[in-house]
Amino acid sequence: MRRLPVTIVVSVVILTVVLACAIAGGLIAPHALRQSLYLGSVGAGQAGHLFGTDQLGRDVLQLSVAGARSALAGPVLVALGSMLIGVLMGTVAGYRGGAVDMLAGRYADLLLAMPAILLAIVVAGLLGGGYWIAVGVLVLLFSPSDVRLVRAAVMEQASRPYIESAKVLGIRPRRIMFRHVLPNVFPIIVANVLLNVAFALVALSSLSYLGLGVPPGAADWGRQLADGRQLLGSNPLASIVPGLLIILTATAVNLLGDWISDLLDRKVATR
Amino acid sequence: MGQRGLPVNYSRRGVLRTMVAGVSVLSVSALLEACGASAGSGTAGDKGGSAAAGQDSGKPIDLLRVALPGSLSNLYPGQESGILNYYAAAVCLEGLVGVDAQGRIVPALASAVVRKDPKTYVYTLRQNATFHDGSPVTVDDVLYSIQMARDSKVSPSTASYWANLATAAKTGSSEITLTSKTADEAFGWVPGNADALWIAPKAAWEKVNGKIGTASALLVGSGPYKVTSFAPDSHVEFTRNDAWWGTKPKVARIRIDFIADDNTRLLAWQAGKADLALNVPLAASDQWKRSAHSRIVFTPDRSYAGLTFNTSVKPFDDPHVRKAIAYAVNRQAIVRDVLHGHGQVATALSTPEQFGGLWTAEEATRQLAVVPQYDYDLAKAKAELAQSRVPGGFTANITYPSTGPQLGTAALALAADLKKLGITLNVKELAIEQWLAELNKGPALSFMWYFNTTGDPGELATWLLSAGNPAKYTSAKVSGLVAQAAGVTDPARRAMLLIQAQAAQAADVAYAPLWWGQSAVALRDTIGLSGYNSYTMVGNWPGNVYAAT
Amino acid sequence: MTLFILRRLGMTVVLLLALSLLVFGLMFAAPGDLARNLLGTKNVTPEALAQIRAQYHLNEPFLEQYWRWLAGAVTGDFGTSIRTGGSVGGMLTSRVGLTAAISGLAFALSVLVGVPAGVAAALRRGSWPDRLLVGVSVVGVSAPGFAVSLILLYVFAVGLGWFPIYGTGSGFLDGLWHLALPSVALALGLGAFVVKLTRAAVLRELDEDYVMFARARGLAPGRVLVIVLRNAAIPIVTSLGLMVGYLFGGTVLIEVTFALPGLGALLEQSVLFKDFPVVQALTVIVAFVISMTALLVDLAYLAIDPRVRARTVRR
Repeated sequence: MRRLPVTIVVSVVILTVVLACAIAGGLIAPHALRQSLYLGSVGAGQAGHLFGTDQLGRDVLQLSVAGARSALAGPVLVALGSMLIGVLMGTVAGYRGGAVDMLAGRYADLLLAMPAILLAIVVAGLLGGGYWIAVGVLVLLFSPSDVRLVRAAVMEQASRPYIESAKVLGIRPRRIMFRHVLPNVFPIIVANVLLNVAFALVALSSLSYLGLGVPPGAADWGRQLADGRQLLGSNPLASIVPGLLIILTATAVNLLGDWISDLLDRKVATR
Repeated sequence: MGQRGLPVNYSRRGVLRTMVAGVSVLSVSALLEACGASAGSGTAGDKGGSAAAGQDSGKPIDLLRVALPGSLSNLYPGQESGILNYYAAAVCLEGLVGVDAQGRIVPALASAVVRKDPKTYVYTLRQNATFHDGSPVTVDDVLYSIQMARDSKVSPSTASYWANLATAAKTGSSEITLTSKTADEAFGWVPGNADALWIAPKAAWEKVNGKIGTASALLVGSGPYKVTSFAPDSHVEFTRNDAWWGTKPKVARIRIDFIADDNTRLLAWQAGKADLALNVPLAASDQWKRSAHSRIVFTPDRSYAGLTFNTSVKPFDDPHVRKAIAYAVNRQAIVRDVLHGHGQVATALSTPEQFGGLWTAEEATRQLAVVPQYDYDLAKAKAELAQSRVPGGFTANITYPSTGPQLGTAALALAADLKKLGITLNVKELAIEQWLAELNKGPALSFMWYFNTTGDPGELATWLLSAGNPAKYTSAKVSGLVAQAAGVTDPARRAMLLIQAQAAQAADVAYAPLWWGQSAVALRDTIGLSGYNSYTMVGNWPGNVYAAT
Repeated sequence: MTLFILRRLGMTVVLLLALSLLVFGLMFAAPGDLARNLLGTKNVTPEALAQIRAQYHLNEPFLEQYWRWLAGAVTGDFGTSIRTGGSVGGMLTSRVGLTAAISGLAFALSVLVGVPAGVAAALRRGSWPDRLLVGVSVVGVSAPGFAVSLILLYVFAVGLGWFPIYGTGSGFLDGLWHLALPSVALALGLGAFVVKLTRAAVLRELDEDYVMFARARGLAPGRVLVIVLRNAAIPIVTSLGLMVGYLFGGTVLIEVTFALPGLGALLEQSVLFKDFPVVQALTVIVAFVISMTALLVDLAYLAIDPRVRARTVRR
């Protein structure tokens, strides 16, 4: 077996740690939300806090461990949900063309042109805001680009000889679409899903000031990041630690995912 | 892929501005005194600021660069009435009256005001006043400006302040008489540029159909500076008006840049791109202090932050619940740790500086301390809750605007304490417009975050304690005291009545005051600003700027 | 072909109408009260509120209000902004240049840097330069926007002093100089999109048989690359088209950080304020730009790939 590249090993380690925190955060850091207003925001290494504390006196390290779950769960769901819509709509649109293609294209244009913040506040106003509502809104807002991408990739494949021969053989269109075309489009889909996890991580935290997303005071990297902006003078780590975690997790997800996707691709492609 | 247009937090309006359109009482004697003492100097006084001074070298300043923490899309406060709009308008537009450093009414374009009877005010127009385009200020211009100010299509944000005006008429070649519908001390403020009147030439109004203050036609006013360029949401530039009737300010040109992002503003400051920065964010004040060649000055900004209980809704209709929560708030810790000491524990609804014409801030604080307090004591809180109808606790929600993060931190600290009582407080953040909309729905528990604009000690108290107040609070005794205060002209007596009303309210705890806030400005060491306080910036503040040695 | 374009233009008009109605409806349903936003948190009388509502026709039925707007819009009169009092057309014209400039610069950067980076990553698949390029681009995307901007400002504007810290500058060249850092920040924030998709598309082509044949036939690597790129172009062009959509109107964070009066910040402020003339006009413009970009992208597919052209024309 070939030696695993270093970056992949590192990515696996990072993701394992993050997953462990996401799953067992409550066990590892049970007192993450304990406040100490008197202590306030202190810098790294003081009062027994490795990374210091935030403005409510909560330990940054414990808070970051507890924040892993909300940081991962939502973005992964957004990326997967959006791609689900993308695959269903985009494949049919790219393969069949005609009216379905027109409609899918206009659906994408409509959602892309709609002011995202307007949709967010109306949904928050009607449905009350919160984390999962925000996830739903983001799935909707991310979907147009996935639809367009899948449609383009499928369009390109649909005119190739192997599809022609499949049609001539009389294979049903649905089978052609999902068993012949889709696997060849897979690498692009995977690349985009992984990237969307990164985008969704950032997007979820940017909705918090509208009342969507994570409530104030909850352990969440995006929240910590936003709250920590005021603390750049007293304890910059309150912002830097969650920010670095977001970057590392997103990068690890992408590098590992690309590597796995490459492996699968090579195994699948017959040579 | 990412979605378009989802932004992160930033403060659109620097400061929440609230105004009472109803009855507010202001000292008549202060008004007359100010009129009698009219010296035409136009400067906002020389008392009040703390470490703002250096030694005045007397040298003129060619260009003053100011960094504003928000952005202006229109220079006419009648259209966009954020507090920052007032600061910019004070430089170039005037009303019949203005405000001094103690918050008293002083002459501006009116050289004298006489209050013939409680409902009639006679203004004598200044003789040598001219507009920036050279035309003289005539009674017709003033009357037309008043008409525009009352028109809700031209001045949507401030037209309602004129609700109490009965008639505005020319009663002499340089005389205007205004009569109000009801005798109201607050009416004396209305025709001023710190409130609801900005005078421009009638021809200028007509040329743009009332839409002055936009970028298409430069503003024409009568103030110490005239606008030379304005790019909405970018910057505005002023040049000194040498034909102004008052004392010539030392600053020749002013450029105000709108830099909404706090970090960018700090970087710009550190790179020496501005000489004066307004509303330095409290949380970053340490970083600002560390900047080279600059100093940060804090001053009480007459803001009030407190909790409001809707007494007509369960469980807050139960006084034991309200008292329990009042005992559970650790105000000392909040002022010390959340505001980093830049604030004062609020004992009542009126801020000490509101009594500016009557008492010093220290004296006022002493007087206000007679109001019964609920000092932090979780044992007492538990005891109160045990006597209530919900001894086991309950769930409540509270929202705060994204422009006031310190409110959120205070709410989270309170939530942690309330948890020990069995009360779950869900804290939610909203954009400021959404937060205002929520407030108007009469929520069970909410923040009141109010910035006083007039110098009237009853400004907030009258609103919060009279009919139609946000807490749905009714008490014959309290409304009696407030109504009594409305009719009293002696400032000392009036102040005592207002304090008594607030003391009576405190027994019922419809409102739990939290803190009186402070704001900060940053100044370059080469610049001095005399008499900096919360009233300074709505007057001719460039007149207070000097080159320091 | 012309029929195709005409049909698309027709669909675009339908889309604009539908979108404007939808957005108007959403603004109607959005929480908040326009009259209150204008009057602030003052203790206002119901009469004052009623007066404002009557003046801006807020009490009329929804469709009547929409029709009033539509009637004006088709004649080019987008009305007056309720928040600022200025003419909507004027506000848009003064800002669209800035937004177009910054979007254009960011787009150019993404194309000139992102596409070659993606190709390079694909050619060196699996090696450390590949991972480095992808990693760097993902870092650019996942790093908090304000942090990227701050670091850029700190290093290049404050530290080295090569660029201004904020503002628009005056004049053409000065304006471009002021837009340099914001464009870089924008491109970094979205660049991974182009890089990763280019890489994925090129990788897939490199696995195809024809590449092996071409190499076996002795074709120069450069020529092989050109053929590969042409085949991989469709997903790449799609991603570039999507970029344009995201750039035009999605630049709020950059605009606020660098104090640039662009369309993004205006849209956000107007939505929150419920200033519907501005929101309607902006949405229509953005929708138009997005639709035209989509049309151009589809036309590009036809130009690039004759097989797609054949299928489209046949339909």
